[in-house]
Amino acid sequence: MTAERIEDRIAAIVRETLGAPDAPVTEATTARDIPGWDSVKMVEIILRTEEEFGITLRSREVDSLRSVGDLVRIVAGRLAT
Amino acid sequence: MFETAAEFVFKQSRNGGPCLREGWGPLETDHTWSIAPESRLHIPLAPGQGDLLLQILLTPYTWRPLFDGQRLGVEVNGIALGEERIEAEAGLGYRLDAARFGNPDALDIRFHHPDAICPQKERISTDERHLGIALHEILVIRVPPERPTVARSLPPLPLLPEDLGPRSTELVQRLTGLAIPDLALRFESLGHNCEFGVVQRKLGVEPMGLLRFAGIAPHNLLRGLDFGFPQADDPDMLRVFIDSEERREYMIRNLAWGFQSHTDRYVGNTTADEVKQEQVRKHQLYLRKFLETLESGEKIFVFQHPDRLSEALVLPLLATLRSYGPNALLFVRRDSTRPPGTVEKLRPDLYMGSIDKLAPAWDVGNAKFTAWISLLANAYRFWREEGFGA
Repeated sequence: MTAERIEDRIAAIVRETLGAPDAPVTEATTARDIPGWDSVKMVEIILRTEEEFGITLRSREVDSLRSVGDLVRIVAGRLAT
Repeated sequence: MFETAAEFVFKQSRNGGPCLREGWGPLETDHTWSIAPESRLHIPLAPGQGDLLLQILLTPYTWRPLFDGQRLGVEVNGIALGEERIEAEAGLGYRLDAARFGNPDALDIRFHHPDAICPQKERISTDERHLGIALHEILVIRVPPERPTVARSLPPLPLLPEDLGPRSTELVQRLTGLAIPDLALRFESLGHNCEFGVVQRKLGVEPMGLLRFAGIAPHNLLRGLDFGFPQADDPDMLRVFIDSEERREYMIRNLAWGFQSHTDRYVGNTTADEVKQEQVRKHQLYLRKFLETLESGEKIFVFQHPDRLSEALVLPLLATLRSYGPNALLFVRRDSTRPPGTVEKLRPDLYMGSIDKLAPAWDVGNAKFTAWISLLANAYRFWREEGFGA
């Protein structure tokens, strides 16, 4: 799966979780950029991403998340191995 | 990971009765009371060699506000181990080095209760006994030998109060090799209240921690860690309630382990059912992450408590953390005799931090942030020096 496709699917998860269908979501997007993106929503985004891609994020990976791009890179790395 | 040398529970229908010598009342539903100024136990040990860790779970007799704690002296096989002041249910721990204690086949434990109270004399009840402690459990485990540790102390970083700017950034980077947010991420809160969670926020990180914003009593923390917090994410064990009529925030209480947290959700904006659904998901991820952190040895655990903490009072906690993996503990206590931010290495994996003020639960935003930076930087330096987190 290409990084673009992963980004598209994660962007869809982010929009759906936050109830913001028109929000611009790019690799650079962070929680500060979209109203309502708090720790509870972040949990939901992580769990939905895990379910979508059939992976489990490690504790260290969760701690390192700062932006959508970080999540995309972790998922891409996992899918590549 | 550790071999159990003895485990005795002092309540009806459990195995503690034969260990009781002078100074104890009969076994009751959950404990047995010490009823004299001195009490004694005889604890037979399973055969084995090496160092032992003696753990004692107890609750002091109190009658607040007049009697808010008890001093307790502990002596094992004729060797005095020290005296603690206990104000609530607690675990006491003592390392019994083979070099000092040999390889005994039993422990003769003497307790001294200088503050034992006669409820009848104090007009509290008709009980004529001199009550000191309610003993719940004695656990003795065999622990690996420890490298000799020379107790060392690191002074606070030379920071001005509330200096969270370039100077602290540069100092922390130079001393630890880490940026301040990365340093803050190397620590995992063990609760008590939100203070350390707020410190991490102030230092620029928002790690997801099961106990980061949780209020939890020390004995519940110890038991929860002992068992791995099963049911911490069980919907039947999570109860949503409203904080106060004034704040109207939904809170979540974990009935299995007695800890509660803020949800940052308010009455009027959402429903209790929705909050519960969110919190179940949150606890699922947080619990999984917490257990992984315990096993990985990648972080230093932080425990702070306003009561007077001592090595004996945190050793059971450290032993439980070590049963998961190569963990280390920074315990932070209020102490006006040392400069705030001082950290002492008591053991390779145990660091005692001093601070002049711990923030009360209702005012954690006024934590002493620069002192906390020193505590974290100093504990991290000891941790790396001992080869942890490699």
